Amino acid sequence: MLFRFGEIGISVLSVLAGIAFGLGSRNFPASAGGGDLGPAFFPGILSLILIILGSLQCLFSLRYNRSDKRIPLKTLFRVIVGMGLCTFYIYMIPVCGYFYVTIAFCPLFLLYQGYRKIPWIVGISVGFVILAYGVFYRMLAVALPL
Amino acid sequence: MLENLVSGFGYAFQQHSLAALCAGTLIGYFIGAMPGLNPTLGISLLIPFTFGMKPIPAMILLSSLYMACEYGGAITAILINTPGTSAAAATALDGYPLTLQGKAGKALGISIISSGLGSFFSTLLLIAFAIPLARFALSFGGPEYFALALFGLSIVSSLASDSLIKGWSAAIMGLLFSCVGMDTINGVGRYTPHLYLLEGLPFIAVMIGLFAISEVFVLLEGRSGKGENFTGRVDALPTGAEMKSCGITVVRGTLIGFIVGIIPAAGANIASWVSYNDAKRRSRSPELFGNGALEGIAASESANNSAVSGALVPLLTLGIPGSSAAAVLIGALTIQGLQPGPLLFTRNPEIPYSIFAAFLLSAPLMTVFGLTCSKFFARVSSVPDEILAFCIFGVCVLGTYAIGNSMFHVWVSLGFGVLGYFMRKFGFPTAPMVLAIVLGPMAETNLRLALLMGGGNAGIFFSRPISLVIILVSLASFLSPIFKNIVHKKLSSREGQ
Repeated sequence: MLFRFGEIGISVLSVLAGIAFGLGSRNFPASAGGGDLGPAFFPGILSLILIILGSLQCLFSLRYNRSDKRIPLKTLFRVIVGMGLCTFYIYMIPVCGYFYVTIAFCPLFLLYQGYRKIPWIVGISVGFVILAYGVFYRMLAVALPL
Repeated sequence: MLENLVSGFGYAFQQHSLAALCAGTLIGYFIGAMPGLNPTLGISLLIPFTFGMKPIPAMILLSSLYMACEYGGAITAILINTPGTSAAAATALDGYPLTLQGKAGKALGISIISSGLGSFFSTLLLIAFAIPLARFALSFGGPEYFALALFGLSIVSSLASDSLIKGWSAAIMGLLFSCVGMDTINGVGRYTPHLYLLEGLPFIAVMIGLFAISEVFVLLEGRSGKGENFTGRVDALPTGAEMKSCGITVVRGTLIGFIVGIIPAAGANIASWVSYNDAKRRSRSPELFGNGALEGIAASESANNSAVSGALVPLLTLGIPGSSAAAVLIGALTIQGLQPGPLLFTRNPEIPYSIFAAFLLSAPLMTVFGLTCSKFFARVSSVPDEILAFCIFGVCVLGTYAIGNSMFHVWVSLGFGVLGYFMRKFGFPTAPMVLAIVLGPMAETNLRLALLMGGGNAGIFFSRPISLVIILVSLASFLSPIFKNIVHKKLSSREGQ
């Protein structure tokens, strides 16, 4: 994947974010007068600037960036699947409980990265859960979902 | 001041504080030495552990960790050509060639001693200048604080030297994120579809996402940044004559680091490069730089540790972070129910003075630890990336959940982690976004307060001398990287011809 396609993607997203923030600011109450700018002024101005900067970056990447720098799709795919794994882990925490999900996630995450030393995988999984239980759940009284 | 400092030492010598100091220094070394982990991440990860602690040991733990982290980065920079922190990048230029020459001990020794001296003397500067600055800051009103926020934001230009548009896009996005939540002047909820958002986006979760979780995704790419020639072998320490030859460089590095550290968002990274360049320019043998000059290591290491104390000047006296790590320290102070800024010295003087005492104690402690534990720390840096990625992610999930005992914070953190990864991947710097999220509320609130004070007349910013001076400095700071770029391009094109 060409580097500048990523640049364009993020620029388009920032323009869209600018539009969303700008439209959202129209719902805020107007200035009360007497020098007060009102709650809509700051986000309104910033949205406008973001739209301009996003458009400029988009234009620059399309028109002037002739670099053929590439990001391997394989690498991106590997990271995106990893992100999916992390998202699924976080989603499952309240469903099945932190400790069960973590002890299942750790080997999965390490194996996914290509780590194959089974004794270490078991040790790290158990050790991490013990650390979370001892330090966070017992010592710091963090109410981890069970 | 002396009384407060003595009482600060009293607090620092208490059992819990001493334990916190030792733990902070050790953990700081560990985090600093681990490629991929940085002081900001270290402090973020340790904040949940301070929830149940009293404010003084908690702040001593975090500040000693911050200081030790800045040194820890040099260990891997010297031994395996992999800077543990970005501020140690300049150290690697001369440290690694020395390791290849079989002089790793000398390089490590000089770096440890320079860091220790830089920390110690910059803390003395901090003690001398913090109070006058705090008194000065008490005369600040809305226009001055807005001008200060503007000055902090102007650093975005230098943070985004590769592309100003990308840097400023990230900063504006950060400013917009800072608008989420209850408006501080009118009490109106803005962009708050969820009740959790009324308090604004959780800053610590955002920071952990942008710095730590995005790093996990970088590690998932599976390309190790670790060097191949790592042996862990440490030879003899530097001689007295070698240390003496670096003396002036350390003094200059300390001063440069302290001054650069005071500037919001400049931080240890810029300080070490400025100091390195200065040392090279003044050296009698500049040709050695890049090939194993002890002076180069001394300049970089004294400056990046000195910048830590410098960063605490605006943090403690004005409530403005001098670096991203200092920004997280603000979060830690707030969690402890303390308000960083001028009133901290009048309402809770024990906090800043115990931090000063901790810094003065941590400098020799850090030096002793460093000189005795170099071999051990060098081995720790061989932890495989796969394990590192899991440990960072696991602790991030635990840490962000612990902020509010809610999964909402974890989701925010993950969301910003994904955003941070793609930003980093496509050349959009994340530091301006973090800086903007920190300074956004300060900029908006004080802009509106100042205009209320002036009855809607923007002239109030230019009629008050302090505000005017800061605005002019901000303008210079904003424009100088742009002019430098233009000049650099012209020179390059001339050389090309």
